Amino acid sequence: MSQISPNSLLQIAVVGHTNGGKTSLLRTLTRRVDFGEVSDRPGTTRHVEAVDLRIDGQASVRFYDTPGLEDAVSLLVHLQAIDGATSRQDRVRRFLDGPEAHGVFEQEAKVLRKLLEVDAAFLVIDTREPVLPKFRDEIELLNACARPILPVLNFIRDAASRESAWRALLMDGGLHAIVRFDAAAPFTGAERDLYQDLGTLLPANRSVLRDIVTYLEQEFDARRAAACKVIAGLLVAVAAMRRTASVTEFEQPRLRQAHIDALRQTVFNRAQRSIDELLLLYGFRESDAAEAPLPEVQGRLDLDLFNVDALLEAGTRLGKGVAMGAAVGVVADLALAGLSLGAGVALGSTIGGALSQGLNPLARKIANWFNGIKELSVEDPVLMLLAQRQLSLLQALESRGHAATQRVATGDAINSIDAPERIGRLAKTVELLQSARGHPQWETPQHADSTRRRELVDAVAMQLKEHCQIN
Amino acid sequence: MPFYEALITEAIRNLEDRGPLDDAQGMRLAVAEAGSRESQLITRARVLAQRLELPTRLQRARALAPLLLLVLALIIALLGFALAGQVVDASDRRINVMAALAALLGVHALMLLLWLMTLCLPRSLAGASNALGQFWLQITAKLTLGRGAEAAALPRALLGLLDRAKLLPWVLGLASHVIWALSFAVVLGALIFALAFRSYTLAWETTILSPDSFVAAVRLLGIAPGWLGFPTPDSNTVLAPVANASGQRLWALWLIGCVAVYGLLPRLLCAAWCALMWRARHAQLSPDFGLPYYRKLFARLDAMAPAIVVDADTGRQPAAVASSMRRHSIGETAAALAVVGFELPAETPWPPLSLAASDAILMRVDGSAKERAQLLDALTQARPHVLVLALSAASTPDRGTARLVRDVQTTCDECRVWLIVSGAPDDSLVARWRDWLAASGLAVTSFTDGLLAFKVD
Repeated sequence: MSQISPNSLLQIAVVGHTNGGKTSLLRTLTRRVDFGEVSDRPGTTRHVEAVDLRIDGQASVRFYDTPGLEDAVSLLVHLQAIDGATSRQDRVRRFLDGPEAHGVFEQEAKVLRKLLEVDAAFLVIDTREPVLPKFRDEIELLNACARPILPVLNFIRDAASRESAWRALLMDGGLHAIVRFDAAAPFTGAERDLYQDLGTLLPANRSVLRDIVTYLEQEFDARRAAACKVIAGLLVAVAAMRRTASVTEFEQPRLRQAHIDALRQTVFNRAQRSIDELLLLYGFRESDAAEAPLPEVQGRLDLDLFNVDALLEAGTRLGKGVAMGAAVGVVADLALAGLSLGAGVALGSTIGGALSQGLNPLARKIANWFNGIKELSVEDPVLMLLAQRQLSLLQALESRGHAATQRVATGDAINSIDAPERIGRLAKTVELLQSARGHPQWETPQHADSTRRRELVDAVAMQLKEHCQIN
Repeated sequence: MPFYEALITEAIRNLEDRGPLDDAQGMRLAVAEAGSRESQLITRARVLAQRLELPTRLQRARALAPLLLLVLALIIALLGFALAGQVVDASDRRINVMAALAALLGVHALMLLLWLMTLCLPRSLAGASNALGQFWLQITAKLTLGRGAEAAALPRALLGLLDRAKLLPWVLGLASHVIWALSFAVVLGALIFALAFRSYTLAWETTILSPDSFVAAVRLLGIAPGWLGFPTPDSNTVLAPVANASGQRLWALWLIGCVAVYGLLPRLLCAAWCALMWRARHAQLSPDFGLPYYRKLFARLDAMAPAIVVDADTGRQPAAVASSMRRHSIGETAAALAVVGFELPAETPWPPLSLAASDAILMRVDGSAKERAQLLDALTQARPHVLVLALSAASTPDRGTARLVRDVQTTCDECRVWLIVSGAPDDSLVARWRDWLAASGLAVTSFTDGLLAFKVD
């Protein structure tokens, strides 16, 4: 990517009617939640602000966020009254030199002045707006600057979207390359389409744009791989969790409950940490309450992991996916739901795993049995639920723009995680995690570098990544 | 990527396993640097490392490491001598040649064999054969890096990096081989000195072996040193109870040759082999930038790139168009009601049912310059007493609308804005219009909730 030198910096102005989502689009394109100010109020952006899309630390595209066009109808009348101009563009220049460029039409002048300087412009359109003559005038005004313009249709998923009417208007205005791009919840690949279509308007910059597309795809893959590693790390840590106490302690209900609650809290905290990490990885702010990035998914994530019904369901699914003896009958003891207690409970799997783990876990079990010590550990259905929820968060993050200030329906994404063919794969992942059960020390990050833990995390992450790829 | 930078970067990652460091300054300097994101991360790591005094610790380790290597070599050599000394009969200066050879080369040969074997074994099992190299690293770390998490992070980072580049057995092997080679150099030096300036009787002893097997062993062992010109005692010399002076010389040269060829030479070759592997692979010594830790930092770095305000807001409100223009005096207007639908979506029914039968002036304007002009002409003619401007609540208020409101105000006594809500009423939309009217300098004097209408003044 180093061939992109500063002199090939592509300059793109983002223009459009007020409140059309220009700043939102830029937030999503540059993956910056903190750029500009996004609100429902009209005219939130009143200055021209530049932000760079960096490829490998090098700025390769410079976007300009411009104020909204608000009074195109009157400005067009004003422009037509200017005489002595040789061309439409010349008319615009004369207007910019005139007094009204700093008077009534100050905002519009900022847009047009910038538009004359850049390589191309994105015309952001809120497709929920009815197609009115003022928009036709806006297009004519922008066309007068004689710059390539790529209309970007925003809010296309909204029920009130009037996409076809807008397409007709844009065609009429001579704008034939049109991109659908929902800034709050972009489609997969929408960003690629955006740059590819821009390439048709800017043939000279096509190689730069191709590099950007390649880079964005690499970044997408790298982010996903890292996210899968985060989730895999969580699953390995939780599978490894193990609390020991004497048999007598577990016989007293109060002490026993304290142990159970403590372990559940640990699992919950660890899962929360993973969620925070995923948010950071995707450029969202950690536990940002003011702009809770994913309210719906978040709500689902906060659901009790140790809910008996959810666990029973997960357990049954596990049983369907892979024959795993221990998985189904777990919830016999309601108080324990999701945890298992005892020296011998999981011995079956321990003996099975002895070949891959060495004899240490088995020896520990036998020693515990002799010493009257019981072990509390986390059951497979919890791992299953954890994996499902974290993956649904990942999916929501991947399909989420950085602009959203409102809730976005992510229900579809979550449901597809529950599809039967995926359950089978997840069950295999849970099976793979069994080898972590023999290594209680893998719970803590200090052992994150142990080669065998790393190999397990990599293997689990690989499976999770494959899981993400079935779309 | 230079090894030092990779090491520092990884060490900082290891330290941050337990929680983030205060990196405000590091991030700032990293963002200021124009370069790839990897190099920005290295800058950040350098700043943090400086604060944690990692460079000084590393410098100490670098200074002391070769010295410790030498000390270890000397210890090995002394151990060799001690073992060999067991077979030197000090009183009559008799050296048991074969036993001395076994004492000097035995442990070394065993370890070398183990090392060669572990090269073929999976990585996780290969640790034991490099015990010497590992010991050297550990003792260096312990003596130079100090205590605490910072000290532990450096060797952890080093081992992690080497492991990732598949260099760990080779680097540890290099250390082991160099230690052995040094110790053999010392042993050889001492051996040559002793045999050159003192008189020893070299012989062999056995209880159960046949003399012929010694002849064969001496001949076999002598083949490789023979290529380098070391002589081999013939069978007569070997079989003689005590060899004559020239025989003793043959024995001594044979012993030196064996130590050089079976001790020093293989270690030198192995060390060279390891060094070649290092040269081939040391370019791969780089942190795994795909790790979540690094990806998170990338995301932070990207978000920190400054946004530049190019064409600043002057803070001026757009001049109130025509607001200073005096409207006509009250009383001139006709006692009529005009309702004007402005920029309404096509599907909005017009005229509104409640007004269809009234004698109010009803007009619908799509907002184009032509229709605006027609509207203003008509209103100037009609001069209604009350003008109701019907707007779509869902549309975004803009300065075009503000201009129209100001323009029509000059034609009537009282102007009201009526928000037509399609679908469920949304309080936020109404509030947005009210705020906007106020912000645009159009004072809202009354607001009727049922009608969703504002009176603008």
